[in-house]
This record gives sequence, C-alpha cells and structure tokens, in this order.
Amino acid sequence: MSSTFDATIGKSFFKRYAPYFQALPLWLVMIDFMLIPIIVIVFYSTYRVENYVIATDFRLDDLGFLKQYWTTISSGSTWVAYWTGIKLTFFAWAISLVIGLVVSYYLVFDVPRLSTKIALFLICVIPFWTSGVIRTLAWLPFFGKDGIVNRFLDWLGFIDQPLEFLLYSEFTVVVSYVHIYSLFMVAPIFNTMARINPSLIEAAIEYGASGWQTFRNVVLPLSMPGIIIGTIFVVTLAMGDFTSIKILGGGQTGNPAYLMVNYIPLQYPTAAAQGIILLVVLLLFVAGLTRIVDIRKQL
Amino acid sequence: MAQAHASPATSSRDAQSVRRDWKAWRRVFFWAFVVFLYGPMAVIILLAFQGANGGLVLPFTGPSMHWFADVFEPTYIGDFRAPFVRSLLLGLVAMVLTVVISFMAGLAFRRKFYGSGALFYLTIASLITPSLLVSLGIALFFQWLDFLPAYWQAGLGAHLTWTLPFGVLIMLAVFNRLDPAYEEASRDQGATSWQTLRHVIIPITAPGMVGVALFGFTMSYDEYPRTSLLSGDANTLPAELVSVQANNASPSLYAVGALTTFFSFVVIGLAFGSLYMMQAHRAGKLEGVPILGALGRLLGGGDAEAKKAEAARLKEEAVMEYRIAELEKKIHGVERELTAFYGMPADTAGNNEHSGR
Repeated sequence: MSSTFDATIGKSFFKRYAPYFQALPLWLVMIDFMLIPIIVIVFYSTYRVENYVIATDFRLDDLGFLKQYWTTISSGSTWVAYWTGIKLTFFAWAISLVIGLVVSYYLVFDVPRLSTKIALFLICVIPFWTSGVIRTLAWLPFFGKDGIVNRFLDWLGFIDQPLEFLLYSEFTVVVSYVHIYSLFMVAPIFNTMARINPSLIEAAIEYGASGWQTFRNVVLPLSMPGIIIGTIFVVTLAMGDFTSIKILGGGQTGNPAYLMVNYIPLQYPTAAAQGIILLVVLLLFVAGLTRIVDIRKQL
Repeated sequence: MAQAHASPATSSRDAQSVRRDWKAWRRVFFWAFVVFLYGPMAVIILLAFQGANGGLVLPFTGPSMHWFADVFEPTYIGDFRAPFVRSLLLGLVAMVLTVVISFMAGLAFRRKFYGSGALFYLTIASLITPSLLVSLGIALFFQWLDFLPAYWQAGLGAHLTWTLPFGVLIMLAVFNRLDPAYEEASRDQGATSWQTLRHVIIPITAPGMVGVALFGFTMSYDEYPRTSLLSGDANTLPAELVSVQANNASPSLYAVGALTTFFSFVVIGLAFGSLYMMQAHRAGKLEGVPILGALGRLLGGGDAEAKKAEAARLKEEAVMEYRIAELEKKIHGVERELTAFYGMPADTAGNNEHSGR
C-alpha cells in the first residue's frame, strides 16, 4: 500500500474527477455558444435607439435600460405577431398531436411484427434527415395559383378559378409546420406507447371497455410523457420559426420570430429585447410542462 | 354491465368488427400520412427534370437534364458548388465533434458530479431556444469581440448547439441500457479503465454512436436558421437555397433540391448500412464474404467468431459474478439486520438497545 501510494494517488485523482473531464467539452460548447450569447443579447437589449443612433450607456435613473422592453410590449405589432404565432402554433400542434397519436397507435398496436414496426417507423423518420428548406420549398409547386391542387380541383370541376388562399397564407404555413414538425410528435409518442404492456389493453377489452374507452382511459394517460415531450418540441420550434413563414407566408403574416428578423439589420437592440421576451415566454411554458413529466426518466 | 352479461357473444362480436373497422381506418390514415410526408418531395424531384422552357409549376415539359446542368455551372443567380462543399465539410466536422462530445458527456452523466443537473438543463435549454436567438446571440457576441463570424467558427458553434442536445439525449438513452455487469466483468478480469473503454464500452455503444453521427451530420448539413446571421458572405447550401429562392426561382432550385435529397438518402443509407454491417459481423454472418467481411472487421473489429464466443463466455461469467455479488449484498443485509436485532457481535453491541441482555 505505502510503496504504490504515489502511483495510485494520480490514478485515483483522475478516476475521481473523470466526469468533470468528460463533461468539459459539452460545458465549453454550451457556455460559449449558448449561455454567453444569450447573456450578450440581454446586454444589447438594454441599449436604446435615439434618432437612429444606438445609445449604449446603461441608464438606471429612469429605467432607461428597459426602454426596448417597454417599446416591444407597448407596440401593437408585437401583440398581433404573438396572436398569429400562437394561432399557427396551436393548429400545427393540434394536427400533429392527432397524427402522432393515430400513427403511433397504428404502429404499436396494429402492426404485429417488430421488424415491420421498425421499418414503418423509419419510413416516418427518414424525411427528418433531409433538408427542411427543401421540404418547405416543396409546397410552392403544390399550392401555387397554377399549382397541383388548383389544377386537380379544376380538372375535377370543383372550382372555376384558382383558390387564392392556398399559397402565401396562414393555411400554407400550418401545412408546412405539420409537415416538418409532426415527426417531433410521432417519435416521442411512439416511444412511450411502445412501452405500454399490451395485456393492459386486453384487460380493458375483457372488462368490456369500448375501443374509445380503452384509448381514453388506458393508452392516452400512459402516453402522456411522450405527448408532453412532443408538445415541447412542436411549440418551441413553431414559435421560433421564421423560415417557413418567410417562404410560404408571403409577407402577409408574421410571428414573433419573423418580427425579430425584420428588426435585426437596423435596430438590433429592439430585436434583442423581442428575442429575450420570446425566450422567457417559451421557457415559462416548458417549465410548466416539465412539472408534469421528468424528461430524464423518459430516456 | 347487465346488458353485456345478457348477450355476451353478440356484443363482443360487434365490438370486434367495430375494432377491425377502426384498424382499417388507422392503416389508411398512416399511409395518407406517408404520402403527405413524401408527396411534396416527389413533386420537387419530378419538376427537377423539367424541360428547358418549363416553369416552376406544371405542366411538365420534360424529362430533361437541362436544370441539372445549370446547377454545375455558376450562373448570375448563384453558385451552388462552393456552398455544397462548405456544408459538406461543416457537416463532417460537426458530426465528428457531436459524436465525441456526446459520448464523453454520456460517460460523465453515468456518475454524479457537481453541476450535472445544470449541464443537463443547459443542454435542454439549447434544444428549445429559438434558433434565430442562438444565431443573433452568437452574431452579437462576435461583434462584441470584433471577430467576423464565418460558417466554420460561429456557424459550427451554432450547429453544435442544435446537434449536441440530440447526441447527448441519444447517448444518455444508450448508456441507460448498458448493463454494468459487462464493465464489472472486464474489471474483474484485470482490464484497466482504458481497456474497458476500448474493448467493452465503445463496441457495445457503437450502434448508438452511428445514430448520433447520422443526426450530427444531417442536422448540420441541412441547418438554415442557426446559420442565417453567421455565414457572412460565404453561404452554406441551405442559406444559398433560401437566398436564390427569394431572388430568382427557376427549376434549377428543384434540381438542387433533388440532388441534395438524393445525397441525404445516400448518407442515411450509409448509416444504416454500417449498422447492418456491425450487427452481421457480430453475428458472424460476414465471415469469408470477400469485401463485406473485411468491412465488417473494420467496423466491428477483430475476428467475429472468436469475439462472439469470448463475449458470450465473459457475459456468462459477468452475470454469475453479478448474481453472486447481489446475493452477498443480500446476505450482508440480513446479517446486519440480525445484528441490529439481536446485538450479536460484541464490537457493535454498544450501538443498540438490546446490548443489555
């Protein structure tokens, strides 16, 4: 023991503090590219814009450092953007939830073989690994005035003139959100549903529960963690989106993130304040949801 | 309830047929969802083969390769070749870093360490923070430092804030399912921690790491919002696509889309191919197969049959030892309880109330 003391102390030092070394790279990335940038945004949001010049002095006396926040909250366009963003997000969330539940239920309980289950699940997941920009652009030839949907409806004789609302509208943006984000709902719900013991369903049926009752009282409560995680994904992604809304919204509608994009080139202190407000809103929302489910236990 | 008892046979048959009906509808719903997922992509690929005078929408005047030729020549609307190379390199670097950092973090999270909760929540926060905010934050941070942001430093960092949370979550799930008996066995056989890592932990978690690599590469290669304020004048491919779309759209946009989608499918195929190779190699299916055997050895390492036998033996030993250890623990527990109750051994007698006897 005493002769190997010097050798073991170095080894045990490394062993004891190994997690700190192993976690160091993740800490570095998260601090440099996540934490510090957010703190920098908070700093920049205290700047004022006076006569098109950015004033950087920190004014405590008349709460001058909160001016951007006051400008943002008192502006009508902010509230319109939040209303639009929440509306778009809500519809995208609701449709994604239905898709997530039905698709997962089909995969978990209707498909008998495990290998088929995995293959079909992969079919749903593969688009996630392809370009989101392309998948947004892909709706242009579909919904345009001369697009496939209008031509098809015309050919069927349902319409005389093209439906204008199909492209550059909130409708298209919601379709695109569902297209891109529904996978974030399908995957977690599938994951939690796959862990439900099938004999619970059999038991419910044995006791005379209808299909709907079984779903409502057995499957749905047990899928709740997946639903919550999917909700967190869909809501934060849709509220923070500015690409789909830029390409498919046609400049007619804007959510908080899109409003921010317009402010960034000229008045970035205002954009910074808007960003911090959006972040706080989203973090409060997620914190509320994580009280219901412990994410770490779901892995 | 009473009604159900009155005619159990008919009611259950009715219920069953209703159930079967719903099942059929669910199947229709599922395949409709698949069409919804792939339909637009298919249209893009079809329209990429538009004829020279064809437009962004139907009618289809092709098939021709006209717009593909456009992609490989710089035109006034933009040059896709340099952005592709940038995105490819960025994706590869992001992939390697994501795999290494997630694996290390996964190892770290297996033990309790000071700040692990904070690091976990910071990683989750990075997942739910709007990408525009990350982009703006890094842009302002670089402005404050007086650095010019470019895709290979600021852009790379921004991509890592998106790929790492996925990588870390996957690795946490992988490590949660890793049986500690394997490591105990390895240690009991006299392996150092490095040997255990190299020969036990890495091979077992390798399929998970292939998954992380797939996420890391594709999510970086396709990422637009986080790079939007950071690429400077050297655009990545998605950023170039968005700017070309805004300025002048021609079917060459679809040609790029078709090519990059095809490329994504190749990458996905590579990932699943290597997963399959690992599995087949471990199962010893690739022994003696000319090229695949060598590839399998490269991916899985070593001679499959010998490894498999050795692994089976080690696992058996490990399980036995684990069980013995558990039993010993139980025995110790019972002993302790007995001691506490009867106060038998003299040296602990002072600690319990029965010592008076």
